[in-house]
Amino acid sequence: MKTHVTERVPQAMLLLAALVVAVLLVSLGSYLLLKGGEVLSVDFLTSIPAQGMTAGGILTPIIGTVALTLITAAVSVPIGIGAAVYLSEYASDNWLTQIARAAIRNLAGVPSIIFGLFGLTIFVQGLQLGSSLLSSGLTLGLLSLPYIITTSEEAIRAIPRIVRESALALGATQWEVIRDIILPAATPSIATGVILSLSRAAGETAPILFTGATFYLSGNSVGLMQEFMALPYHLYTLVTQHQAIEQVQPIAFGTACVLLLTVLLLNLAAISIRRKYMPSTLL
Amino acid sequence: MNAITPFVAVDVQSWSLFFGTRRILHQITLQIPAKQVTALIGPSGCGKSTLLRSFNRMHEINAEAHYEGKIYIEQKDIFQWEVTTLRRQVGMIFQKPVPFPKSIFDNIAYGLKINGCPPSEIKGRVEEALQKSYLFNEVKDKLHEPATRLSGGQQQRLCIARTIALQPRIILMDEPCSALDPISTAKIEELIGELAQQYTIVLVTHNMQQAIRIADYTAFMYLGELIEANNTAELFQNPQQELTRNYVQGNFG
Amino acid sequence: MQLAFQASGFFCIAVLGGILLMLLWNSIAFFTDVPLFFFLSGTVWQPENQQYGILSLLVSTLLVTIGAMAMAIPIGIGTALYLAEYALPVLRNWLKPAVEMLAAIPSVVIGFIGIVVINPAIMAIAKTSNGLNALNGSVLLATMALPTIITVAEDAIRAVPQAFREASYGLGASKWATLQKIVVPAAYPGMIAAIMLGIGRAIGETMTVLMATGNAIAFPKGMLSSVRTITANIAIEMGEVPFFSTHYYGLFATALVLFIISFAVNFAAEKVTAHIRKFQI
Ligand SMILES: Nc1ncnc2c1ncn2[C@@H]1O[C@H](COP(=O)(O)OP(=O)(O)OP(=O)(O)O)[C@@H](O)[C@H]1O
Ligand SMILES: [Mg+2]
Repeated sequence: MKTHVTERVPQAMLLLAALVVAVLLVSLGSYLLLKGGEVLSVDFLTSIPAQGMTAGGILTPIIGTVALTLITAAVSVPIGIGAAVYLSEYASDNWLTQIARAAIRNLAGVPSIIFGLFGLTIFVQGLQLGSSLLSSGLTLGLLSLPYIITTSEEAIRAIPRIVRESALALGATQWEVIRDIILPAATPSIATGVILSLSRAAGETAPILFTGATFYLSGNSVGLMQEFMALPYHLYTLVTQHQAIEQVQPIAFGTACVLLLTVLLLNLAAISIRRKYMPSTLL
Repeated sequence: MNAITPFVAVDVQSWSLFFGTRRILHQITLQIPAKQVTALIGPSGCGKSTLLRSFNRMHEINAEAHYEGKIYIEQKDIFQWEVTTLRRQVGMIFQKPVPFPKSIFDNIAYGLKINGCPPSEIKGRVEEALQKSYLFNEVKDKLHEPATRLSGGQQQRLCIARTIALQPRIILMDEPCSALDPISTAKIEELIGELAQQYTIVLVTHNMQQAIRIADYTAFMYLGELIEANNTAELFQNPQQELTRNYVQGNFG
Repeated sequence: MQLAFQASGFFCIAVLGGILLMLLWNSIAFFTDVPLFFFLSGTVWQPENQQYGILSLLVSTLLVTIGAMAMAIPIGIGTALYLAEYALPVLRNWLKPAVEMLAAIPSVVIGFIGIVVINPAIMAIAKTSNGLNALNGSVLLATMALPTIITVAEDAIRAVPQAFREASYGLGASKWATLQKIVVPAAYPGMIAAIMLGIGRAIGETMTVLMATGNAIAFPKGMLSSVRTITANIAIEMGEVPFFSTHYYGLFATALVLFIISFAVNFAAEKVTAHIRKFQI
């Protein structure tokens, strides 16, 4: 078939745009993985930073990030799912509900550094939790909340009404329907959303800058009221605050690589949960 | 005896139902006899499902719905029943089979558990319900597999088993065969015939042949009103109302 | 139980309200010391000299964002059009999740790329001594805004009913003409929303610009000058400022400005999508 030039040129330009994106993705990913791969080893992951962070591994920031993410989850998952259940199952469509929905949408758009300021004001200063793991975890919990609510609410709404009615028709109370039918059925999609939100929170830096993250910690003890090291903040300080730029660069690459891999793996986990359970979940 | 006799399972008195300001059901008065199959027929949108769902107060999940009139189940106003008790006494089967995402066994056990059945009795009652719904032989080796793996017809019989496990008085069925193939439909129809010896059955159907085959009584509704109710043979062969005649002769709907 | 759920639902109102209150409260404390007019019209941010002009920060923020959009809009919309209209399903099935994955990369990692890759590249190409500048930040923010733009725009394009296209082909229009005259106009609101959300993402970003733009406090002269955005400024100064000083309150005032801008951008995006109901990122 003969295609006119006026058809081909624009198509080629659109293809070019897509290619730019594809090349960007591939080169970005492979560059980080290759450079990081050079330092990545079990040793790197399991030893604490040494010699002013020019040697050793990243165990301390890994522990910090894991602990931080657990606190984030402890805050945002119950509240987030609770709010999603409320919005999808109980809330009538009145002005208060609409304000709540608007608040959730807007919270999702608030820059993360402003969450950092909020955490500083409320948790560090107001509740006197100080600059600590707990303050940072609470701050990130708030940050994750709108995402968890939105994805969970969608997951719950995706369950057909007839399923609820079938359970009600057996004499179940509304709470029993939610607990025994709705939540179990929505769990795979909720889990997908939660994993993605937490992976996002784990990579955040701005909200923990002034709420508890610290440059260096000797030893690797974790405590709720202690400051902590975190992977993203570690990467930031290595490349911007450290004197011996040349010496820390390999470690920085390793850290970036670990962050990237973590996010990739969490995303893949989320996608595979979705693929595995979605079609067979219901009807 | 007056209208309320022990033989009337559901007694509907001037029942009107509104969604917001829209009136869906208008002054319906109808007695549904106990331990018989009563079919509700009528063109699409005439309010059959709405009437059926009034009986187990299913409209309560819709804030828009409000009502006038009375419905008595077992001679007791439906609003004097505890709603969960009412729904346990008045089971409901839906148009599409709705297995919960649980095992076959747990699907049936679920209703028993939430209604306070002692754990020691659950297994026996699950099996009894499966037997009664003619499903036991087909599933006895896979009781703990997900119910979603059953065929559509089996799923619908599972839903029936789930309902009769609670030993209700009345079973409401809203087009229970419309999503099924002819063979599954035949099985369900046979099952309904069996169940009618023990339970009161109210069946919404679009299939007039089905009503003729299995219903003892038939009620014809049109635009939210009850036009005519009679025993099935009488209603189809000798309708008293013009509208009914047109409908059963296939002139509309 | 319902009460517990209800409480969680309204918790979000409290959080958003709390954020707003915190920003306003501290900003008011600031404006009792520094008149609003000087804050909004001053070009010099030098707290040590009691100079609290937001303009250089604001202009830097806008400069980096505009630069980012100049790259991200054509590439993002182009990719969305290509994926929705031309790409083979295989390519689409790979590129789309990959693009979504790009959105998940932590911003420090992107900032790190700015330092180790874009920085030397700019120095080599533009022959400057410092590649940590507005251009660098723009490239990175473009990368970060791309997933949002592509995903939302592609959804909008695919939401255009197939019948529109078929009707156009039926009249003998070519594929490109159909795209230009039928598909793009129909998907226009969604594409605008995509861009708005992309801007929202870029404007509020902190770590990337903090790491890649050099953070010089001077009024920006162009894409090649080192700039300091509102977000970066807060990140830099909040760690060192004495609590409850004018300077401390001043940082909240800049945050309030940032909040208002990003609120407005997201609000605009929401208004345009209000009738398409399809804008998940
Ligand atoms: N939740 C609701 N809100 C408002 N109107 C409703 C609602 N449910 C049903 N209706 C309206 O009530 C009327 C009766 O609906 P109903 O489902 O009872 O009809 P039906 O006789 O069962 O029809 P079909 O045979 O198609 O199932 C219809 O006009 C329908 O639009
Ligand atoms: Mg119906």
